[in-house]
Amino acid sequence: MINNVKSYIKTWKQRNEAKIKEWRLMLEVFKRSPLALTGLIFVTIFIILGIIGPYITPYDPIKIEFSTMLEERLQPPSLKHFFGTDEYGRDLFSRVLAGARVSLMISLAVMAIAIPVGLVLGLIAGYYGGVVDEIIMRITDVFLSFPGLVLAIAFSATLGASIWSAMIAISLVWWPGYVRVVRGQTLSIKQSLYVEAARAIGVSTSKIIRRHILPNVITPLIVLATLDFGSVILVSAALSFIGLGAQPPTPEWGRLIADGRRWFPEKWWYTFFPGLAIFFTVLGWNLLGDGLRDILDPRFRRKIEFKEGGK
Amino acid sequence: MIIEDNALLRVEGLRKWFPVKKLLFTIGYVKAVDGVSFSIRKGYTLGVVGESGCGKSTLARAIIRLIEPDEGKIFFDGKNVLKLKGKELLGFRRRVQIVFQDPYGSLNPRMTIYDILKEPIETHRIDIGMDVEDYIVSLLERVGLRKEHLYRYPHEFSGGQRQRIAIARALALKPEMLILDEPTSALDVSVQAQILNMLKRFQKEDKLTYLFITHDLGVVRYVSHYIAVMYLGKIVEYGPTEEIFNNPLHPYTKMLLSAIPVPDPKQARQRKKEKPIGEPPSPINPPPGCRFHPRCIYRIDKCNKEEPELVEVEKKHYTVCWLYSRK
Repeated sequence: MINNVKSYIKTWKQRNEAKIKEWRLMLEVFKRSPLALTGLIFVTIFIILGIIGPYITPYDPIKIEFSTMLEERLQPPSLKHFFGTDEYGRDLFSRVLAGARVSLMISLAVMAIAIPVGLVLGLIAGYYGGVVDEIIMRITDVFLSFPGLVLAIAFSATLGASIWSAMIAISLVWWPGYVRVVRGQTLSIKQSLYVEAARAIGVSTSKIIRRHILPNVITPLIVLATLDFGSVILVSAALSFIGLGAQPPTPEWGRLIADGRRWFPEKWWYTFFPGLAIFFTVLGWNLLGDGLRDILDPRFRRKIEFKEGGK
Repeated sequence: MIIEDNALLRVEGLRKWFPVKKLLFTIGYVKAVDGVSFSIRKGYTLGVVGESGCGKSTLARAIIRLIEPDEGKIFFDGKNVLKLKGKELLGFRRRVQIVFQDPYGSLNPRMTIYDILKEPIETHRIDIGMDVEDYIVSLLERVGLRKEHLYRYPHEFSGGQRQRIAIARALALKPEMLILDEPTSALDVSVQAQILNMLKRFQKEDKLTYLFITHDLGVVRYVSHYIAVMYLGKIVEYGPTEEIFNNPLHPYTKMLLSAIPVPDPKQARQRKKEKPIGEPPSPINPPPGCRFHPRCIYRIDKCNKEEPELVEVEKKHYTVCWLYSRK
């Protein structure tokens, strides 16, 4: 008997059959949702531009060409300058492309700080409860009791106007939301029977958290983080817009809109195209986040599976 | 007494009260388990029956220390379970395992059956004398599943199959005792029978000791050697299974037995009805004296004043009721 058991459990494909099936289903759900696909396309474009944007611009996004500045100044969109030019004669298309990097950097940095902090504090508060939970949650409550943008402005103003201070300010505002979500999820999973079963077996606390709680916490966190990406971009643009955050000559979308305001509405392209960039990026992240929520929800996936079975 | 000296598991005066808090003050206690004593000999099954909310599940969880009881002693194989720490506690967990009621909640939806069954083996590093995979397949086959099921997720199985997996997980460590917390009440009747027969077979093969918790009197009659009837956190009657069914002593036990539906309507009408009165009272601040007195049709004067003591009415058949008190 033992020998034929061995021969059965050989290949990776057989071993991971259920996992592969699950991934296939996820892909299937994704393919059936045009909105999620649109979101994915926008987000992919944004990320690619964020990485290579500054290298593929047709003109230098920062340097001012003094020799041609006067005749190139505030030109409307044309084949030469797709998005027109600003008051220094710089190509706005180049500046918007290069601006993707700043937004991507800020939002990635915020996520890289806020998610781990939220995860660790949320897991501790949720699993251990008691005094530790009280302390962590009251501190997060203090942060959550202010409107996020106001708090970010306050931090950013204190830290001085720069991209770095914007990153830190937004991160400081963002982590409490994740603590809440992770703690709530941890609390409910902690009481599940499979965690009780693991405790009855004698599995150590750290293993219970790693193996049973973390994987079930991470899914809603991914969805939330995806949805939040757009909001972080909006807040960072808002900070730059009011003069905190990115400083000239750094091309940043919020900053571009602020600079273009002076010439609005006659030179509409100056504010319009950076605004459009923000709009599509935020929309893309939101659509993708909504799509991911459906995909990562096993119940939703099952529905698709059953429909397929009925065909 | 109910407690026998040579028993594998002895529970003495176990108490667990859950505080009920309002704002910052404790306004009362849910007396889930309130002074419960019993024992189980090796290889036997003790069935614990009672209505929902009588403290059966709390009792089960307290015995394997998923809940820390407030008072009382639990001896397993002579050692006080409540004093165990670290390695000794781990050793106890290896010897006593639990199967829960809900097979949909007791298996982690993100782990394959292989991972679920590997966890206990990994945790205890027990000597199984063969490859882990082979051992897990042998476990699956023992509970009536196939090796093809090894790398699937719980949601691909039916309730009965999931319960088999949960039983396989409990058996993975070759325990001496299983606590079965309503293991069949979430399943179809036909599946229930299969699981019960399987459990009976394992008991014979491995000389397992069972603490079988259920509210289903038919099930408890089928599997148990002894029965303890629980009411509001206390054991009100204890005795050998057939003795309890043929000669119930406590009015509550009589009421429970009369509530078993009879397939024949004529017989049902003829049957002397011990009419149940009302619902069980809240376990927060239970009635004084005998806790059953507000629902009891045999109530006498002192029932609501003094709490009756345990008396042995027949051989090994105990009850807690003034009707049988010698005083």
